[in-house]
Amino acid sequence: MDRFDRQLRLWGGFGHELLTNGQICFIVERRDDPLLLEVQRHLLLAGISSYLVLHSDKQHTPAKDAFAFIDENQELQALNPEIKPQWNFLPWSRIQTQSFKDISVIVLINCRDAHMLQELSIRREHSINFPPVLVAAVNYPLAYMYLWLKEIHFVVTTNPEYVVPDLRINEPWDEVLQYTESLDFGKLREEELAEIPYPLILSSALRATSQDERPLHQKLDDFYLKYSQQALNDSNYRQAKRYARQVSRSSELGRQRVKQLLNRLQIYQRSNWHDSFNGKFMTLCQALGQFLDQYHQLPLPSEFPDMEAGTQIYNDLKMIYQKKAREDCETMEAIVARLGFPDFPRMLVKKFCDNINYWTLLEPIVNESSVPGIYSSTELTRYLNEQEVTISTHEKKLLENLLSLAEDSYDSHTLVSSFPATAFLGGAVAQEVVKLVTHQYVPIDNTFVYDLISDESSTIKL
Amino acid sequence: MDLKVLVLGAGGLGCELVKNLAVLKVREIHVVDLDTIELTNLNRQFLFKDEDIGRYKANTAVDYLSRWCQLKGFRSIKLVAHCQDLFTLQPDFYKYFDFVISGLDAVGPRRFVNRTLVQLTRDSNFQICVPFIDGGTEGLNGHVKTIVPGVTACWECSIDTLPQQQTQHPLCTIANNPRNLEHVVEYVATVQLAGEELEPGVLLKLCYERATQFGISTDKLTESYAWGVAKHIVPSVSSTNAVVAGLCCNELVKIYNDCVDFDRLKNFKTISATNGLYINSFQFDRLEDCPVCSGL
Repeated sequence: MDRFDRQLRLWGGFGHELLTNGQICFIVERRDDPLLLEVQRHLLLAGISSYLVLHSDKQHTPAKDAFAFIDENQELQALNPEIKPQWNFLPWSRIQTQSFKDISVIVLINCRDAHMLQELSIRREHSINFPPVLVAAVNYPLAYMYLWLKEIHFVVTTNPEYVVPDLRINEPWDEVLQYTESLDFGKLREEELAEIPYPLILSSALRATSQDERPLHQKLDDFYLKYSQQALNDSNYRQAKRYARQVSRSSELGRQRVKQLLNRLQIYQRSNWHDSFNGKFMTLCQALGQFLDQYHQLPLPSEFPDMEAGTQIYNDLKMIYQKKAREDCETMEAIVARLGFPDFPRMLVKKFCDNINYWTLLEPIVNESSVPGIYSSTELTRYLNEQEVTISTHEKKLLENLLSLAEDSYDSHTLVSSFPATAFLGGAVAQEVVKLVTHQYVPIDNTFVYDLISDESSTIKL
Repeated sequence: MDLKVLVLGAGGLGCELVKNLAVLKVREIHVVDLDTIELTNLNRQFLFKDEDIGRYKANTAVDYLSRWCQLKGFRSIKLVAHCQDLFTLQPDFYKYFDFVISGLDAVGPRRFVNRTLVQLTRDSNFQICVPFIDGGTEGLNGHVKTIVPGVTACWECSIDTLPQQQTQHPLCTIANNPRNLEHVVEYVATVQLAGEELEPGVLLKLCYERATQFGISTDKLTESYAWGVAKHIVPSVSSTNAVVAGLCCNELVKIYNDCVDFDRLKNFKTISATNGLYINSFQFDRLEDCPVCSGL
């Protein structure tokens, strides 16, 4: 059994490989910042091995309220013997000359030194490409994060917990039609009918009742119960009844969703990407646009869900679906090749097709201020004014606290130890970094703030 | 902090919890865990190293943090390990503590501890009232429940909010009519190997044979896959544990510093990080006819 078994179940070998090749840059006031130590520990455990730490030149007394290992260097290395972690430490003065080309994510931790922020902003503005910057800080009881994107971030799969299967029942292709037609419900015994998978029941019903204008779930009993008296007790027919309502909408909704995403991409035609994964994904999106134009359908995902059915007939149907999925995937590969990428990784095309209903994207803010939105009182004031009528009083209070923090007039709560807040945010920041690097699950878009005393939290887009 | 805190479980959540409490300089920290360390724990249970595999979790965590405290000069902190089943600990043991925090992975032990703590409050007529802060995680999601016996909803009050038992496939399907690998693994684990100690290699071999027999594709059949289905393994990662453990300890800090109004305490939180980060904190009312805490 694998050391990473429990997390591979979350992001798979695909995500793990991206993590292994990831490089993280931390920008901190002090090298022993408690939040830095927390985030770094989680990222090492996740499998990231390469770190650049940009720190201030100031001398600091050792941080209180922090967890550092007894033998920090040796033990951090031992956390994950399968990787050989590397650290590079540089002073802030190197921000202007530093190449961030190979950095996956920059994490700005507990530092809002005006000069450094200015330097970073200039460096970012003058670069065509720049990694995402995740800004994180704790001022007890506030803990907050802000994601500062320079380019689009693609999410290959949101890994949803509940899904509506994409079975195209109302848009069958030839092989499904032939298979459906080969079944004559009138000649089947009740036991045999109880083994028919629900997509076949529904597609037969759709064809046989096309003159009847009622929605499928209302006319299904009239169509099917004449073949089997006991069908209402059969689990396959109960499934058919449950899914009947989704049939007419699910394919169309999936298409609309994808078209909207592709439309949002139209203003971002670029060939130069910081994150090569985003570049590849853009190519896949272009190919998908052509696929849609040509076939008016999305490529079929290869995942065929389990359903109540006999083994043989289930396997037959599954093979028909998987064959179509394979063909669609090959068509996509051919389009990608025509776009000028003959050596495009096949695995990625397949991953894309399999998650055709679950990918999404995060867009950068075009008219952004020169410092991260969370430290810009203009941005926050604008947001509060614009949203004044829609946000709750609790949320308003929370955001006003954040605003006073941006204006440097916030009175931090000093009565209690804030370490649990640091530990909490450490986990949250590491999680966002992992999401960004693995291109799986949806990162915060783009501001998260939590008050650890009132237990109010809010996510807003600045 | 002048407190005696009992931590239940020294797994993923437990490691984060005990670490937080040590940094908070909690005067006395006890850790209960019956388990020993395995390789698959090491992606998140950071107090353990490869050479600790096979050792008791509670002992190993306490050993490490005792050395850590000594090095930091926190000499007044006392750490105690209990490598035993928490069901075997008597009520007198629980009443010694000011707080109980749990990072357990099952419902049974949580209900037991909840019942024990509520009973202590009932029997002592509120002379003893040990807050119970319960954390839990699954993948990128988690929860925190703050239970003040006789004051806020107890664990049992919310028992109906738990999802139904993991959906088991009907036996006739997995025995006669398997359609996918899950059915195959369930049959092998619960019928072919019923009552036997599962062994990953044997499980995989039998699953492979059965899948082939029913013409089910074995492309995805690996040891890790079969083991995951057979043992109902829950994915877990250190970052989620840290989020939940941080919030658990923050609850403790808030109660200790008198920052909470128990009448309006948002005693339950659910956390989800799959799509952004959502933390829903809300007040869960006591159940009038709760079999554990009603009448208190």
